[in-house]
Amino acid sequence: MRKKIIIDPVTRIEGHLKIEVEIEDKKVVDAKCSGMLYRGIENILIDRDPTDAVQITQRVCGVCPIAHATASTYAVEDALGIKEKIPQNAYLVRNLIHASNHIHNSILHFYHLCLLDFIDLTKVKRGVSSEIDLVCKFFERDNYYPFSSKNNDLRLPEDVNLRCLHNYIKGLEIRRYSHQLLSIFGGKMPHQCGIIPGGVTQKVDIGKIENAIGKLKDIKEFVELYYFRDLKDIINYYNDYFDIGASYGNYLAYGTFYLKKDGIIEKFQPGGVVFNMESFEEFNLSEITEHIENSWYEGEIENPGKDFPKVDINKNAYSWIKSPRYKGKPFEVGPVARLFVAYKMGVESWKSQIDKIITDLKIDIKKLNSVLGRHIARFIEAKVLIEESLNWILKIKEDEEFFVDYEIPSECKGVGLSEGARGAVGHWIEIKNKKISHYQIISPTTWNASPKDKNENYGPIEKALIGTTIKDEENPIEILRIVRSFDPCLACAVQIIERKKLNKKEFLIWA
Amino acid sequence: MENIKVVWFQSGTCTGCTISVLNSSSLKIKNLLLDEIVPGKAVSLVFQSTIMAESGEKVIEVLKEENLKKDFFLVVEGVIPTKDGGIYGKIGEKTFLEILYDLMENCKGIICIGSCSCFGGIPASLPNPTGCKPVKEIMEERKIEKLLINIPGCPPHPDWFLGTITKIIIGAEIKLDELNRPLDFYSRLIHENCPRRPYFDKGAFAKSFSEEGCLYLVGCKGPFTYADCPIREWNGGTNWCIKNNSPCFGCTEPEFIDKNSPLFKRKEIEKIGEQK
Repeated sequence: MRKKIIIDPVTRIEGHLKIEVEIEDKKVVDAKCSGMLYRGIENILIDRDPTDAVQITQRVCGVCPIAHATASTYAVEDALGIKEKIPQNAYLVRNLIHASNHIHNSILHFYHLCLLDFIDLTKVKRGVSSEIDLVCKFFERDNYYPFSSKNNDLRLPEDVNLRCLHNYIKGLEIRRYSHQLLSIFGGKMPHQCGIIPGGVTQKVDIGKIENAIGKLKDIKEFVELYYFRDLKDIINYYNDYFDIGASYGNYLAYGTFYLKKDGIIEKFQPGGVVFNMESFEEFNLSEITEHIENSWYEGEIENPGKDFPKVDINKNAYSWIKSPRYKGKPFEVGPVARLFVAYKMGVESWKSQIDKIITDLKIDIKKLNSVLGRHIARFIEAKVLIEESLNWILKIKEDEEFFVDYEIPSECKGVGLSEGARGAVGHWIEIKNKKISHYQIISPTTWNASPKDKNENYGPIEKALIGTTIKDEENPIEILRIVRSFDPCLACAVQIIERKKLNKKEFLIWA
Repeated sequence: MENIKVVWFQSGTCTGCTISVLNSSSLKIKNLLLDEIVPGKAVSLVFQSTIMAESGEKVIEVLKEENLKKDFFLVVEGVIPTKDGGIYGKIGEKTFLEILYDLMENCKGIICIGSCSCFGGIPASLPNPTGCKPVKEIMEERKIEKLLINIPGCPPHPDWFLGTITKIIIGAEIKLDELNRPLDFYSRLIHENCPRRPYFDKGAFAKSFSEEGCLYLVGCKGPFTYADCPIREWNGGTNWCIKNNSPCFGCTEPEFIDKNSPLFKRKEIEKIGEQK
């Protein structure tokens, strides 16, 4: 007999997500992933100055604003044709800002968004550490929320459980350091003000460099020692999660962390496409299509940009999220996608680190296509980016430029591709009379949390849920662990522009 | 021992306000979540969906009146979509609007965190695609009269929020301005305490980000914006917008962003805001 389980809201993610699964003989046979908030930020950009976009689009997401700040800035600079003129210092500072946002997200995601699915907060005793004592006192005060949980699949032995819990609290502080690191260069966080078209606002002096190195060292110590040990323990006791939560194995990354080398702009983290965990292909923007069969919009989209859907609240659909597809297929984006692309391309700085960690963990790279794999990938990224940030800092040349002036032409268009912690982010801008005449964003969670497309292909999260065995239907923790492993960001996922604002003949996405 | 119950409701938000409060470096987030704020008094954050352990129906249970018993403060993060009956934001089959009506009716007082819930913020900017409204407007429509404290900012500084919470807990009087902002944090213009004020007074204006000087001509809204950023600084005193050579965007004001956009262009001074 089929049984339906609805989880709404899914907590410990960014934004408003509803998950609906159908279960038969304890196995998930159908899944629906629904984005439950629509804001329409892109509409707000129309008729504004192109330089406003970097600030407005950051407000798409307060967890990963840098993904939008960089994508927006690159889109404007692409439109203006000034990418090559941007000083190397500016690229370095942007990368530092961007990397610290990713490092922050890895810690936040593992410890604060996911760890409570694996540790038992109630099994505490006094005298272990001041952090654990805080938890003891919390329960002694007859408190339960926000930490009460009916999760009964908790497997850690006492000492490991206590250590992970200690680091949950310690991690709150380390996560804060990574935002402090960011604000050294970005002014404040969330919603930094350092990255702007033309470069960065502030020059970097030795005081900033010294401060940043200090912060990086604190973060590095925690990540390499504690984060890795805690992750290994979770892997150890929840080993079956290497076989739970696999999606299609189709991976897409735009790549990011731009740098100039001999006048040409390169990416530290490469972009590309991997099919079924095997074949690598160069990425081609014109292969992206969007479907809205199961989204609350009217009409049909053949190619994104040619048609713009209008909200249709009476449609028999289940999400505000659209379904972007590459060559008609669903693709997972995010840390696993980025690592797979770099690995398949054989980029040494990434491949050597990936090999080191997967050898240490005694797993095949294909095991990254799982709940645990997504956690491992985030750790690897944090580790590599901490090390590379130290290199970037030392490349800054204090007495060279950080910003170049420019003129905004009356008509132009551009595209900016970047990566959020959660995956590929693309911004498309069109400028007329020096104002934004069009803007479109495709965010990472739009790929991952998309509903079924017109060919009945499930979205990547839905696909990862289907086939999963649910041990206890009253407590479907497997579903939550799978969904959270994608680190969904719902505020990002739903951005759309209404048709009435646009001239239908114009197209938006171009290669 | 007194546990002060707080329901932190997220509606149309980017979660930036939550993340900002996690960044608190004076009174730390662990103190808010687990500790006493002052001896004998603690905050019990019964609902905060970015942090809480449970999901689904079990957390919807928490919000039911029989469990809250009219004994809680309501924190609202994010704007409220009202167009088409508010269908643009839902939790557990109810619209944000419906959930908010109940919570507003039953709570002891409301704290709006962030410019979205205070004034509408970016989602309510033109053309306001989902008919977003700030909490105050909805309270007026529903004729709800109770304590409303606005902590604007995009995001607000964690001290502005935790300082206000601390004042509530110790029972100190919170003086508010006409926009319901605590005077403790929002009584001075950025311009008054700006370290670049001498440049302004001398008329030394930067015309580009490669120049040194007052940022007024490249869009600084400091002369119109009430907040204590110049003294408090951000991220544990690491930096702040103007120190980072970036104009203030006026994110604590209702003018953010429609009346402050273009953000990087000069806003005409008719009369620089008066000291309160």
